Amino acid sequence: MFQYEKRLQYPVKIKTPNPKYASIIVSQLGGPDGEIGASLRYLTQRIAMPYDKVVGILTDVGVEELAHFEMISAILYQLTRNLSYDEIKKSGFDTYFVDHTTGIYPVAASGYPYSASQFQSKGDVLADLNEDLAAEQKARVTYDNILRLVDDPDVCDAIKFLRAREVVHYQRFCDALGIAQEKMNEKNFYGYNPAFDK
Amino acid sequence: MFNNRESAKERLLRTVDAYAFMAYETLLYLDAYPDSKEALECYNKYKRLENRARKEYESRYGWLTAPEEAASWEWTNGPWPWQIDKEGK
Repeated sequence: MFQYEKRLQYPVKIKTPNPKYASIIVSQLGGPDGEIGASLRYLTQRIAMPYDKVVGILTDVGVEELAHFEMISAILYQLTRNLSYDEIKKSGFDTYFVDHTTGIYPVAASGYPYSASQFQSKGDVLADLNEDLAAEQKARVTYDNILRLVDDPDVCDAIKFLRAREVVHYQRFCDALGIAQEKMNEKNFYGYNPAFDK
Repeated sequence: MFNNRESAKERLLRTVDAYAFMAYETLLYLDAYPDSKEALECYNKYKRLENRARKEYESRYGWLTAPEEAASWEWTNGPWPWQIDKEGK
């Protein structure tokens, strides 16, 4: 069960709209390493996860990713306020605008719409947790790349917060992998999958 | 239009954000290290501070989550969290 809280996890307050930045940052909404994919990855994987502590980590991180999805949405909304047709055309935002106006839609910066084919729920403890570790690093790199391309301090402030969260999630998934391996060491973990074999 | 100065409302919400973040960050740590007494004390401390700040904010500026009971319905009153330059319609 989920309940909405009427606040962002970290404040987003962007003074200067910039549609060029929006067309880059949208990748963290619906791109291959974006926040909605992250949330769905953890919230699906947790169901078949046999270890309670690991279920807890996947649940709490998966919910936080939804808060990040909302923060990215707020960034995009504020970057695309009060645009003129001229700004839309010159910035390259026109290819997004033609399909979505200034509505928020999960696509990659390339324009490829969000797809569940961008993540896996393998139903295998080691496969899933290793995917999660990689996912956090890939999202961290995307935020690093955004910080290379954006120089508005209002935007960078929120992006730096999100980048730091990827690092913390990576650390918690390292802990989760450790917990799982300890459990699996009780048997021969190369020989069975505790999410399926009993 | 855009007001660069932080209002008392924004300041109080930032206080809620900060305490809630500390509580959540420790919660995530406790998921992996439930036996850490230090983390548990930290969680209890910041959860208390969060709840206090949350009550103060809600009594002045409106609900952050759906209320236990209400005299009138204010849940849909703006601004919503991503709206920065309008007071809601």
